[in-house]
Amino acid sequence: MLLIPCPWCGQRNEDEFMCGGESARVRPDDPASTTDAQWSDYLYNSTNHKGVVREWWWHVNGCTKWFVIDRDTVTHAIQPASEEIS
Amino acid sequence: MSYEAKIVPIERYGLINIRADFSAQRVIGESLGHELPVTAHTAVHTENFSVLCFSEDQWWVRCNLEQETDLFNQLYDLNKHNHCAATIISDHFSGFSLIGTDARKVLRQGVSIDLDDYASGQCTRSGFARCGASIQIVEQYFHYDLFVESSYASYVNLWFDAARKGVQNSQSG
Amino acid sequence: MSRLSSGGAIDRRQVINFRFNGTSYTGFKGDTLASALLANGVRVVGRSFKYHRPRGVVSCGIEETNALVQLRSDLDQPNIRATVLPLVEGLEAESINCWPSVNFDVGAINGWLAPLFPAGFYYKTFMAKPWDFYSRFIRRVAGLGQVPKVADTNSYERVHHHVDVLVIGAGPAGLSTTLAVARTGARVLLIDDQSDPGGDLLFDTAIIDQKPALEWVKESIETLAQLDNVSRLQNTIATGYYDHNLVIAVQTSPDESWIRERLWHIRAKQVVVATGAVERPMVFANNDRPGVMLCASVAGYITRFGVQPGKRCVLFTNNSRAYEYLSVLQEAGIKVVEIVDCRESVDDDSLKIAQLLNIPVVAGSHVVNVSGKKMVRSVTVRSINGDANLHTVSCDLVCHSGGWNPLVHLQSHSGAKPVYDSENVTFIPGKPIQSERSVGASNGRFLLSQCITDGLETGQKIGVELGYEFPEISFEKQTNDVNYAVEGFWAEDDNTGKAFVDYQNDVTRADLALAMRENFQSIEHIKRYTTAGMATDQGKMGNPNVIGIVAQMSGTSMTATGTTTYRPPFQPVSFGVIGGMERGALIIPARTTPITEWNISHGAAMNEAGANFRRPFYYPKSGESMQDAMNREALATRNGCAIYDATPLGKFELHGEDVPELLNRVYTNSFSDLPIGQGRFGLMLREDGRLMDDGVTFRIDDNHYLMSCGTGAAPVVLGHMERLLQTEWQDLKVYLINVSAGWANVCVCGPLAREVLSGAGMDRELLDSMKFMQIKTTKVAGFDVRVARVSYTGELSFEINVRRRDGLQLWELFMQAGKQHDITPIGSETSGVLRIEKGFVSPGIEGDNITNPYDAGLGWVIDMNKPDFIGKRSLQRDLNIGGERQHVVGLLPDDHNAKIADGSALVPVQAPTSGNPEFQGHVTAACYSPTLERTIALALLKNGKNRHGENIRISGLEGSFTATVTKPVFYDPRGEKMRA
Repeated sequence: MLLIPCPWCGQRNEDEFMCGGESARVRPDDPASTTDAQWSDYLYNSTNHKGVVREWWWHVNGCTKWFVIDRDTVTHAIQPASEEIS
Repeated sequence: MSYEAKIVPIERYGLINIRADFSAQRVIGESLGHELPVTAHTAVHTENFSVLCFSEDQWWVRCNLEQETDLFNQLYDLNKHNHCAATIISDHFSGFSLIGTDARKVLRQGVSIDLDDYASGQCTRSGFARCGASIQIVEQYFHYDLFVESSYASYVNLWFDAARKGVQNSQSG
Repeated sequence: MSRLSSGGAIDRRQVINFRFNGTSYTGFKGDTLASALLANGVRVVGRSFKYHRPRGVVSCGIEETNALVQLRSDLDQPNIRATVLPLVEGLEAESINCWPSVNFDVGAINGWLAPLFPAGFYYKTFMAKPWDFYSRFIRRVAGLGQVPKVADTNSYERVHHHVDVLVIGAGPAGLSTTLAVARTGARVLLIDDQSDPGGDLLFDTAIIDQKPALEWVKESIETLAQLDNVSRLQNTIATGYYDHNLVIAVQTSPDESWIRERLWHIRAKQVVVATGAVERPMVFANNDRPGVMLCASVAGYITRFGVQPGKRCVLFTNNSRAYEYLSVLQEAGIKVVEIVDCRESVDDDSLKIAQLLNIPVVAGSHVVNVSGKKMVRSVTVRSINGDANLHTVSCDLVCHSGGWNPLVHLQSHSGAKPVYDSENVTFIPGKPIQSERSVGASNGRFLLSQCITDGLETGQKIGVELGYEFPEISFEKQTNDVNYAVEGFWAEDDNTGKAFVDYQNDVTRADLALAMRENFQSIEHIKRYTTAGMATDQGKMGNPNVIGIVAQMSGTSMTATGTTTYRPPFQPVSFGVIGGMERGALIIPARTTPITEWNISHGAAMNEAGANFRRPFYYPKSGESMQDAMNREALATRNGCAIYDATPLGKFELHGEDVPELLNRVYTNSFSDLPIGQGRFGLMLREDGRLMDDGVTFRIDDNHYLMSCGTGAAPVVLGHMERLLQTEWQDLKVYLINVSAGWANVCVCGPLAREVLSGAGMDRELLDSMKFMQIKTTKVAGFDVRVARVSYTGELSFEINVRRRDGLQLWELFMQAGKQHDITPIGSETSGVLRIEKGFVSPGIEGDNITNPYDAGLGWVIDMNKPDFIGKRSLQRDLNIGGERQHVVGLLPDDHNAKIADGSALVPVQAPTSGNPEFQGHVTAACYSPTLERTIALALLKNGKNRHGENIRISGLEGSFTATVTKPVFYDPRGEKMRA
């Protein structure tokens, strides 16, 4: 049961949240100009990095904010993301 | 044998949800006659209503049922020229007052937040049982008002009964 | 009898009657079942797992491996350790794993067949027939205790708790830590598994500052009781240590009389593990005989329970600590015949003690065998090097000590793998990953003075870290410690008998050798192949022996061999406390509408439908079968008037000037030009172009819209839009508000809908003039309502939305008004029939991870001219890739009354000459249509759009049927009835 640091509510149990996956997966500005391969890559592939990953989390049972954190996928150490990704 | 706590449904209350951006907040504050609280978990309590802050752009106005329609109309009008939204939600949520010396011992079975962190007069939203709740701390440790989505009201009644005196002794047995 | 005439912490004034294996015995309050059995001279308590060897009590604590019983008098619980079971009046217990009795067990034949059952034997046998054949027999003999036949109706509680400091263990180290950190004012919780604080001091005769140690304990407890910021729980055992300093603990017998056990979820800023250590056995042939017991445990039975476990004993040790118990043994009237010490040169302190007590020490020697089956009769001793000193000693008790194992389980859970401490020949906690510290014996610090000093220092350090001030504390504590000296020793196997390394799973020294001969080299493989350390005791006593022997056999170091991973729970946990309150009616959060009670009291067959809602399946009249009811309800909808509760549907308000833009981006069709008061069907796709949900969105006011969506999809749709607004399109000015439960939605539909609604008081002119997909505000019987003309049944249909609090009244009003038109409540099964007849695709049923809207016949809702919408690019990709796709089709089985199961496969009519038929698709939804008077179905079929008129075979659970492929609509294809 991870503790997720919600920027508004503070530390809360992970069952108040839903994970939104890697924040590096940004929707292409112009999907029409992507190739099928690029589009598939966006849809289906994550870096799945062993180490610190920046992720979106949604505080669904709380303030309902979406925010990013940095999570170490090996040790589960969690920090609020140092800069917001817009 | 049970915990020293009672659960009372909250009747006849008005509840209006407010969303507003930064400039609309000011306008709404003026309309209500009181600035909207903007610090996390804080609320303002006036003679006629309370304004509870649940997020940086989300509030509840809690009042008596009799005042709800007028307050709502007053706020809804502001939608026209400001980026904000007022919605009556007193039916969407059902309220329960948890009161007693053992109120904390009942509540800690359902929420995983640190009840030492939320003082009288504050408010927050958190996981509760299996459905989540918006919580108004009326008196820390002794009186909490919980609002859950109405479709869960029947389940929450059963839950409180079991939390107060055990599953074996409650109807859900 | 083996009860001493005085001594022990038992209350001799309170006699307790209990039964074991059908025989009545007595004990005293304060006894455990184990101590009472020993006091009554009961030596054989159970039979071992595989070989059915007679076994007795080995220890006096949580680490017990052998004295397991079936507790008949309390929920018939299996595998309860007699050493931690408090003796209560009327207790009834039985030995497990034996028949007909523990003293004469037919299963002992396994012992004779032992050569057939070495480690891993089941990987090499039971292969001639399928496993099912063997499992029938194996199930009867496998396992230890019996599954209870008694239901557990007790109440269990789960609570969440937050503290600054959690101290686990109220022995000397834990108490000292708590004393030090408590003075800072931090919120401290001290938990301890025993009924009284003191830890090992309760079983010991230690001295602190020239007084009995238990007096120090008493004073410490009194000090702590004065402090508001300190809580203490006894009978509470920490069982798992998880991420971010979450510790889960089970409390038995809490103060609240109606709760049997309480599960604590404790979140602590700092955790201190002071769980102590357990003694390790020595490994020698027949070291499992009743009467071979751990040294400190024997002393513990004397000190705490006034029990004398034997009369004549041999002490076998590799360390100095064992000598500290000699005086206790002697004072209890046990003759210690000799001390066998494997160390060639025994340390001076130990020799001094032996000398004072006049007990001969046989150094550099080891016990090589034990004689006696149900009770120790003698031991054989020999020098370690060579055959010198070979002799036999008759005795009825062997006290052995192979060293001490710090209990490092919680630290392991927390992520710190144990490390080897060569000086103490044991494993201690590794470097912590979380905010956690270990103190005392749990940290490999075995002297009492060390425990206290470390505890005080640690408590102070934590206080500083948490930012507190505190007064000075004295570190000086005088104890009667003796320095700890130990030498690791594991004899080589010499085939004289079974030398056990894991008592409970019957794993021997020879099994380890076998595993290594078969080339299992990693300790992880050896553990699993031999099952050493995998029993309910999780290797608390035996694991270091396993590692020591493996290291020796493979010629590597203990460090290189390493440990396996300890995982929660630390000890067995009851199912009841895990489930807590979530049982019976609380096992799922059943959601209701204002109509739910009415449905139940009017005999609806209720079921759990999407999103935990309790929905009416159908409303049987007396004598009706389910099919009868469904037929009647469907026909009433098509020909008369029906009513159903649509309240569970998702409803969201959307506010803001950018709502049309948002709708254009999330729906496949355009919403730019929706007039106020008008609604439009919208199809929402996932980014991968698959069906997410469909619904209708209405425009209520300039910047105010109302979206409806499927019940089950509501949280998904809301999450989807919130995510896009907050993470991708932050410039869009839109607010979303969930109002699903605030509106009761009563749908009245069928050709007579207008008659019924106007009969209830609704404005007939409004009803007549309302166009399909419009929404209007009006009043009926004094209620303010929103009326939406949408149809999910394909008939003329009005959804009347009113404030939830008025929902039931509105429903009853329509029921009353509809009486003369035979208004019929319909359930979800009937709704299913009606939708299949109309071919209304359901994203949750015809939709899957491959089907796109073109496949589902929804191409008409897609506007590919829009610059972009969620799913558009993926649809384009589907079109680019092309190839054969499955399409939604209708099926008309030749047998009009065919019973077709959802999910049935579609295959060619002709069976192939060999091999399996070619899979062509599957039935998504089938039903009997009373309107068409025959069975119909919707299905996904390869290239289905181009195969209308072909014959196909439906092959499923209900049988095999031929059918004709058709368009996926069976009734009113142009939708004239719903637009009437």
